[in-house]
Amino acid sequence: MSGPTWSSVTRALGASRPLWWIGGSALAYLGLRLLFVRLAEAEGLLTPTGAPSVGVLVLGLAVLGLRLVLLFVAPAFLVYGLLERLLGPAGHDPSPGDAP
Amino acid sequence: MASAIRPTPAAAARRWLRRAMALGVALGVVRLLAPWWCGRDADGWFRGDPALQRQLAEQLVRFEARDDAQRGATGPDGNRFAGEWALVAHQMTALGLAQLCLAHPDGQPRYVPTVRAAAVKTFLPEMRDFGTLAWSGEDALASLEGPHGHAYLAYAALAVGMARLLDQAFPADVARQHDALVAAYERRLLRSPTGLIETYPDEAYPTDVAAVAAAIAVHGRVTGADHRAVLAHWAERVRTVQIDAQSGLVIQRMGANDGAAHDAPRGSGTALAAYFAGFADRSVAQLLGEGLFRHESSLWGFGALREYADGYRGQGDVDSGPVLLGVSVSATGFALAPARALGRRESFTRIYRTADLFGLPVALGDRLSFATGGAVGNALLLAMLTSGPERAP
Repeated sequence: MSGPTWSSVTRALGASRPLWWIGGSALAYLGLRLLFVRLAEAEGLLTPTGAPSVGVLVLGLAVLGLRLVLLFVAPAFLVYGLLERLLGPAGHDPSPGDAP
Repeated sequence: MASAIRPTPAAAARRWLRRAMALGVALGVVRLLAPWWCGRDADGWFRGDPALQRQLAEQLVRFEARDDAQRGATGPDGNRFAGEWALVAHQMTALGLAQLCLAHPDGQPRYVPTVRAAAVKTFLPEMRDFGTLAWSGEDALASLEGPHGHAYLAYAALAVGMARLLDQAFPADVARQHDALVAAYERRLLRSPTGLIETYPDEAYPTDVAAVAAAIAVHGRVTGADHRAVLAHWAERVRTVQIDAQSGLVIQRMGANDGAAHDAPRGSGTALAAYFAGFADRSVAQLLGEGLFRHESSLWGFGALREYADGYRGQGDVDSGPVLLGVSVSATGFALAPARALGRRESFTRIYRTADLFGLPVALGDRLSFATGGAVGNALLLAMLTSGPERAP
């Protein structure tokens, strides 16, 4: 029995729709983080009066949410999807060794 | 003919086994990846890497310079960054930079001017307006002979003390005010049977009184004055009156005269008190740290401190910040200081990962900023992440 080949890996990655939303999320995270850093440099999410402006608060929460998604959800999705394809029947290249 | 394409039980079992394996590996990868990513700088901060410390220090130098410019342009009344948070931001900036200077004396020419500027600002009247208002117009520095505690101004007194420790050219007029304030604190504390003095009318906070003790201790190092009696009195009362025996946490708010609990034993107050206590008495800091770290929760390599002792409940407030799933933002951030100063590397690493995850650290050229906390958060984190060299001998 042969293991997963390089072509099966690249095919699995290419067919992986999560890659697209992960890439999109990463780009959105970098852009929104840059914006948030500029807006929040003086106050952040903590202000002397206790409540930041609603816009900064929403932006900050969105950036934090995307950070959590990219650190926890995205890698799990990616690894799970990749392994599903590599370990499953479709992940095997037909080869003489696979024939009954 | 649906039954013809239904997988055999063995095939279905293999498929579920494959999915379970993939899920297990995926979770395992996240379990390793996320704490590694968020903890990349934890070891550097724990060791006191000067490059890391200076990156955050530069952000606060910039904050103070901008604050100076804004103050000069608009005057104190137009400065929106005023009040309790402003006092904390300038105090912690002064403390953090002073600790950095003590650890790396070659940084003194660069940072001592900012330590001086930040410390002097903490003595500005507008920085204590919130306290003056609470005492119905009684100003702390105009009532030094009076009986009221005004313990909140110890935050400023501690910053000025650390600045004087490093700066031979510290302004003499502010130094005289500082001497008088510390003398008043010493007299009030020695007179208190509970080792507490009031912050606001009928309200004493052991954390603020730990700042009073810290200010007195540092004043002794600066001037050579003998404050051992008052510090011993405070330390003994912390052990016997202010710490909840069951949890090991200090009670957040108490009656100054009778020592009655007005709030629960809480993590945020204990963590900050442990930091302040280190300036005055290492054994008290150790005791508070031991109580505090019994309340650490951790998940997947990330650590956080629970706000309330077992058997107590409450919501977030100005002291704790948001309380989510029982852990508080402030207790977690403040705990970095005792974790580092007391050599608790594993706790430090876990807590730092959480601070990194939610603090959004961003490199801005030669500067580092934790974006979520803004200026207050950066100042607090510099002081907490560099804690150690300020401790009592």
